Amino acid sequence: MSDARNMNDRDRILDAIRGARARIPEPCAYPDYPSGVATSAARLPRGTDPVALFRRRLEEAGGRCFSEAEELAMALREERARSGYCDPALLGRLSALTQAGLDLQGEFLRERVDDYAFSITSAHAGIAETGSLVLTDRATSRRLAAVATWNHVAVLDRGSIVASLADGIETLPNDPNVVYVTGSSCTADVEGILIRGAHGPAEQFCLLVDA
Amino acid sequence: MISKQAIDNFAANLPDEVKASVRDGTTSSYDKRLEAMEADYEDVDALRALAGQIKQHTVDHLDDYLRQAEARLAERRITVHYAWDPEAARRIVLDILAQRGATRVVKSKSMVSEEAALTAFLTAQGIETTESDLGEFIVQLDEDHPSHVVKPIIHKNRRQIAITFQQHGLGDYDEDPEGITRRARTFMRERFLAADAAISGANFVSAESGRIAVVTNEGNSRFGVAAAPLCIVLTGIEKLLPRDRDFGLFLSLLARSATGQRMTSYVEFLHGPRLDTQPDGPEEMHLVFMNNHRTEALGTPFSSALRCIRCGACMNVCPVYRQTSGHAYRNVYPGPIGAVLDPILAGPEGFAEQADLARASTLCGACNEVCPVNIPIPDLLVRHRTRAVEENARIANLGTPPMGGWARLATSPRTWRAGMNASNAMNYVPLDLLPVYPVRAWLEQRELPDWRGGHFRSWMRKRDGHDKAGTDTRPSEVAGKGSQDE
Repeated sequence: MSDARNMNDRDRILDAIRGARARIPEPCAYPDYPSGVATSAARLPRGTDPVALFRRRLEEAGGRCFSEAEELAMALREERARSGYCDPALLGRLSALTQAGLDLQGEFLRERVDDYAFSITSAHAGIAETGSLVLTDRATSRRLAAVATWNHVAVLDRGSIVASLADGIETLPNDPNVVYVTGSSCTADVEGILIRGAHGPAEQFCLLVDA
Repeated sequence: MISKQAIDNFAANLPDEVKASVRDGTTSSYDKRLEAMEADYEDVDALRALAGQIKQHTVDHLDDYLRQAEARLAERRITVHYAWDPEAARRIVLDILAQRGATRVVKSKSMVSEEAALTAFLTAQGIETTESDLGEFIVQLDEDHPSHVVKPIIHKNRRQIAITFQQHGLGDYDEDPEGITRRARTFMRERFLAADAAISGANFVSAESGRIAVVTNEGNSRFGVAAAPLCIVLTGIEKLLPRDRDFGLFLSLLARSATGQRMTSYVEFLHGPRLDTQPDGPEEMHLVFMNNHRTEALGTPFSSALRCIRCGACMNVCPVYRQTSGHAYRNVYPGPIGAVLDPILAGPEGFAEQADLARASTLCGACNEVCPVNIPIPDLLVRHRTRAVEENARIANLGTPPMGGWARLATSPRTWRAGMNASNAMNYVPLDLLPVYPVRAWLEQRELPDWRGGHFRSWMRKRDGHDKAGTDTRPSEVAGKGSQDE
């Protein structure tokens, strides 16, 4: 082994590992395994519709899923969420929300983060097996809006829903920030009691659309 | 005092309140894990073995994967640093912060940062450092230490937390868990938005792509990284996965093992500074790989302990952890895996001080059965025990009677036979009054059945005799099983 005093920590660590590797009689091989090996959906009946499964799993995780903007408007009004941020690119598509009396603002100001009762952004994809929404820097206009508001709405193209987590991983987008959102922000740190709305959205909504 | 062992005494003196909190927390986590695994998988053991193999492969080829990860991370404009020990890790983090003039830091949960005592260090350096995970925040306010790797305040109840919040000016006394969470939310978002830097741990780093997976339910890591211009990830050198496809298996096992969820609320794959088109997120990213004696486990049977993904399942199932709580282990990592890891992370000089931890186990094997990467924890504990005896580590053997006489007795059949018959005299000795400390300590909580020395031997002799004569005197049930074998 080289003299540790003359080495930087990188070389020292790599050197120590190389020294130890010589002592491993039979290094463990990388196993060959099918990518869906831990797919829980394998237990579901054959031919389960990915969109239906996505809906079910999203709701099991505490989220809510809508097919019509009017239903979403009602849910937001039930939460007393009247004014919020909306990705400007979605404003045209979501005129039904404005007609239902909601105030959609195309600008998100960090200084006023608590003034937005909701945020509406696009999701890159969905994962049926886990009911997860896939947010990215490219698809989701504001990272901060999507995490800071009490209610978050992810607008998701039905056609972008993949069947399993393994499929989602196989198609991880080339993006500096991919977030799998499964249900709401929650904590059980106090006596194991589940409380929604820890730091992020307490209500996670999904609006399914056709591209 | 019922024992000379520090852990026994810690448990004996544990307030009932803490015992109840730990018991409730561990049993409910255990139940949720079991339910989640059984709901979705036919053969959990096969998945555990597979995940164990992938991690063991990683650990056995760690230099290759570190170099590969380093290249991929650099391509994504994530600056990679290596820290030989906690001191180096602290210095690296401080230098990065100083270069940007960062004075306000928001931190999400990282066990490696606990190893480096990073929060206390940064605070002492004049950097306002806030733990953003609710449990870790309460630990920070109380100047306490986490007692579980997933549930840091498993040892506290709502009343204690309410008092802490009240004392720190976070409103009037309110013990409602929802009220506590809301107050933390309000307090923390100001810190998130004002922070110059976000520091996070990493659950997994893919060597293939350099993707860093960070998992939280609260969304605190996500919020911190979205709001701050600088992001520093601090992790151990063993946190690698060979390929992106491994994320699927490991995220599935981690969520179910840790909290009984199918998927943790937020799984974030960090892969470089934000896009120019994205207004939020860091402009600058760093990743620090810390060693802290991990390399000393490589090439030894203890390398399997480096597979650990910090799910906490072994703590939840452990009959000793459930009775003692995490603080009894006196180290960053509590429970069965802590008893294996802490003596390694203490280094060769520190082993003697940690040598009693391996005794805090019944070797029942439950920790191995729930481990998502199938670490043979009981075997490793026995190896630590052996080393403690070999190195004559004083604290490991406190209160243990000398076994030399026993060994002589048990290795000579003639002496053994004589001893067995003679020992029936024990039934007439008031053992609990003997002035022999280990015997008294042991009997304080136990009652012995009548001694029946030589009884089995005489039964066996009779049985053999009848067998030879062609008469089977065994009970029918035993006889039935015997005939199947024949």
